[in-house]
Amino acid sequence: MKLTFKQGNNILGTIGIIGGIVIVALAFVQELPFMKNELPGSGFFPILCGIAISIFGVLIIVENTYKSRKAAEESPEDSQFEKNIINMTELRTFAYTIGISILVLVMTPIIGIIISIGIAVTALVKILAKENMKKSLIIGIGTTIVLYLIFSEFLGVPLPRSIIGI
Amino acid sequence: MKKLLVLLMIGMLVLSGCNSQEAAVEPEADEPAETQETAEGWVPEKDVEFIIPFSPGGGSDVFARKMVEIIAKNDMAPVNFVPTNKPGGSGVVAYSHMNGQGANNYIMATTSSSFYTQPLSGNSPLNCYDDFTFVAHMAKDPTLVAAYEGLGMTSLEEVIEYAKENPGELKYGGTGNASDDTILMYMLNELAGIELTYVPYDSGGEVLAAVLGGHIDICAASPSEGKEHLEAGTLVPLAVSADERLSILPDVPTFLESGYDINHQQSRGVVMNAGVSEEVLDYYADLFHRVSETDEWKAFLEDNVMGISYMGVEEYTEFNNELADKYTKFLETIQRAQ
Amino acid sequence: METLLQNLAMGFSVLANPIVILYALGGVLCGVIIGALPGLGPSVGIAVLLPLTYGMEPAAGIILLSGIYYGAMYGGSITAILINTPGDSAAVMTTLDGYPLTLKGQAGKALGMAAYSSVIGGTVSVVAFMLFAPVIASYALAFGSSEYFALMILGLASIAGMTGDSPTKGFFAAFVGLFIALIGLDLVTGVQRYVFGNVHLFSGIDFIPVAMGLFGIAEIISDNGTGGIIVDKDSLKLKNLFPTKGEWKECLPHIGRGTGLGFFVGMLPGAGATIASFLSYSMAKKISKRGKEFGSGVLEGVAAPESANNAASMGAMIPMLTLGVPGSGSTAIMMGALMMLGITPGPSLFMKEAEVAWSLVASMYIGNIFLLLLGVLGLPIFVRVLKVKAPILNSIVLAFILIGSYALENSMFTVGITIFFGVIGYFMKKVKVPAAPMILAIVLGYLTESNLRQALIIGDGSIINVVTKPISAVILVIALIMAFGTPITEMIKRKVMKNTAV
Repeated sequence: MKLTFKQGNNILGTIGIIGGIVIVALAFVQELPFMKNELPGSGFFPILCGIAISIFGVLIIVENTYKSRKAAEESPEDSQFEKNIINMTELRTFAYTIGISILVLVMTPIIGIIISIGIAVTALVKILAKENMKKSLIIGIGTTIVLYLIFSEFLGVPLPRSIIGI
Repeated sequence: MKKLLVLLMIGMLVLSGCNSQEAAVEPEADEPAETQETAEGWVPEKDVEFIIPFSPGGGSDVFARKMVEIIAKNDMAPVNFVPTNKPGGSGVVAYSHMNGQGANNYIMATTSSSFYTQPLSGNSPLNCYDDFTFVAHMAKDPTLVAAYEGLGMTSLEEVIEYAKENPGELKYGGTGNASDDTILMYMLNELAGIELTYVPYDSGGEVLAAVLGGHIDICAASPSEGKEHLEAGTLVPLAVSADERLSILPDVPTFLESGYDINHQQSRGVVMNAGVSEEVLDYYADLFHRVSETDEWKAFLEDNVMGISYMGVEEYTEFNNELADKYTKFLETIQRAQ
Repeated sequence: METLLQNLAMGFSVLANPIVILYALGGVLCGVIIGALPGLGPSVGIAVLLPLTYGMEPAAGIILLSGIYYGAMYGGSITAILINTPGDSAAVMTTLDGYPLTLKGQAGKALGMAAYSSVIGGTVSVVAFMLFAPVIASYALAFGSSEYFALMILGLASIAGMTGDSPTKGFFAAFVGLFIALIGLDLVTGVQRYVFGNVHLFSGIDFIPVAMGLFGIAEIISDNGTGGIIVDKDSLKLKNLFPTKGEWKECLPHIGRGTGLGFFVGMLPGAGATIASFLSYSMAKKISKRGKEFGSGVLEGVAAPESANNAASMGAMIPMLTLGVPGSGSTAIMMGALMMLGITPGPSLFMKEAEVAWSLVASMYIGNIFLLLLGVLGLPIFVRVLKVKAPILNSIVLAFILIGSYALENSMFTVGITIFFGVIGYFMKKVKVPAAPMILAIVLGYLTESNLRQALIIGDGSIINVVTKPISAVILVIALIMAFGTPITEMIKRKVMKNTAV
């Protein structure tokens, strides 16, 4: 898959423009007044931010076009703007890390945070560090015990528990 | 790698000896309320989750932890009370969390003014009436109204006179925008026929800094915070909103004495979810009654300038309804003005 | 002067008790550990260990708590440097040059310099505290909403220095951050803004979970191209942990400036270690000869913010102790703790509870020394953490981040925020949008708006009243210079060169 830096910037800029407009629109939907009693209202700063974000979205696209053109003129082969920003290994790490984190979020109410994290660490070490199951389990369980001791025993944080109490 | 882990584990075991915090409580969402019939009536069998709707260190936190400490030290209950901070949304997160547990006999929360102001401002899915049962009312927090010394006025009367001739000029600072401090100002505006301008701050500390520096003219402060400055002369007391003169501020008149029917104080009590049986409520109410009679509690309240005000289940419920009505009325006034 | 020394002696006499010294050491140790845990900072540390102080002598109790306080300040910088996850807001600036130094294999040096700067900043501030506390307190009061607003603008202007390659992207990030800061219940009117009924958002989005996601998780996901962090074995040897003479020469002036700036800013009740570290970093960047290299791993870039944030934490104690007005979130909790121990901070504290107050001051000296010892002795241990293979270390760090963000408010929602910003942070890295301005804007955004609106209410709706106040005006001018100074001087230089060439 290929996505150049230049294309990425354009997408960023577009998101900015749309995002800014959405922010301003939502301000009106929520009836946040721009000014009230001659003082800035609750909509004052949000609307200004929204406008600024849109403006910078445009600026980013402009800067992108200008700089990439310049880079293309100077060294057409080596321009960082044409470099692919999608890195498959990284994307894999991203997917697993975030995916497993979300799983922790979802599983915690059911099996408690401690067990969820234990599973998460074991899984990540196995998948991303490509260790064997035994080592992954040791690290997973070890980390979990340490975290439990620090947060629950030492700091006394009430961690979400599962039905069986862990 | 293994060595490091073992080292860490040993280290943590040592460190965990430093702290003997109790294990947290597991709230049970699906089990029905348990009752235990004994000759004496219901007695708790599991640890109680004592929810504090604010972050550690604040007024509610100190208050709740003192109660827990007294119960633990004097062995007043067969189980532990576990203080659990659940800050967020000025209390809404905590009360929603508790509410989600249904008619659970082992979860309760403290109340303060946000218990009323948030629902009445439309910011809470719960109300301050029948979504809860009222266990015990414990104390009232009076408020001190004081002025910047550079203002040159020494009494409430002087301030009111000046305010009458210069509407909107005097700035009154308090915490929050629909809080007890705000309500106090609107009450004063209404009863004295003046117009003070409200400046909202995020914390009592900020209000104090603003008034000491002369950036605002008048402030609402807690008596314990203001006491030092009153003595030093950097703050001029105008009146206190309380039932009677405070023992630590014997020279400061109450609003009532000064001729204004203002006695709005922050109310501190303990509530549980709707549906908890009377027997359970009575147990806890009695427990807290015993807490309120201990010398330690009385000393604590006095140190923190809070008025003792114990009320049992029925009395508290009635008091709550009246208080909620009062809040409703003033919040409507405030909302119209803002 | 005599009474000063007498008082100090009295303070130290309390410390002569070995148990008390143990408390000081224990406090600092616990503080460093807690500060190092991603997301947990001095506030959490103090709040959590508060119960330990029940029944303790007030003097001992407060010594323990203040040990935790500045231990945590240092602890936060450890993770900032090693894994690019600031332990608290004051450590964000440390990541900018601290982490690149780690990537270059110079983690030991960075950690060492952080420790030394922190200790120097802290100790000098304690002396200043001792000598000037009451006088300075009244200076702190001169800052009202208008002045704070100006200070916040100054802070925002310093963003201009953190934008890296693309100023447009930097400001873009800053405005997004500013918007995020506005989510929640409005201070002035209490209405819900961009909350849509979600109770967890009422108090807004705290910047710590955002920082943990933006810096921490994003870092875990991205491939730094090195496949792991190289630790130069040499850099672990004790003698290499001490900066060289040349490095001292470079850094000391920055440490000096950072300390001064940090102390004064920390004193202001509404500002704190965070803003102090931001301003110190910007100032160092502008003044240093290697200013352009800041962000790629320059030692001064660590020295400046670190000295500032420790100096600021000392400074923040001043309004707390002498006026009863907390200078920051963590001092607020300390004040609560003090009141629970039966001590009421305020104008007469040093008179009525002299022993407690002065033993606190004495403990600050000892605390700083312990910090130094810990820093030096602990360094090899800290750095050894890096020897773990990157993916394994990352998984463990992720676990700490997830639990840490839960522990902030005992809520899974915060964990959700961290993960969400982890995703955002990854995409930001891909298109090279810098994260620091966003974090800075989140921290400052809320304060900027609330102070401006308060100032306008006080000033009867006229912005002129706000900007023409003496202190505000001065600060705003400095802000303008900082924001536009460089481009304008460049322009003038070019014009002059053109004219002379012709």
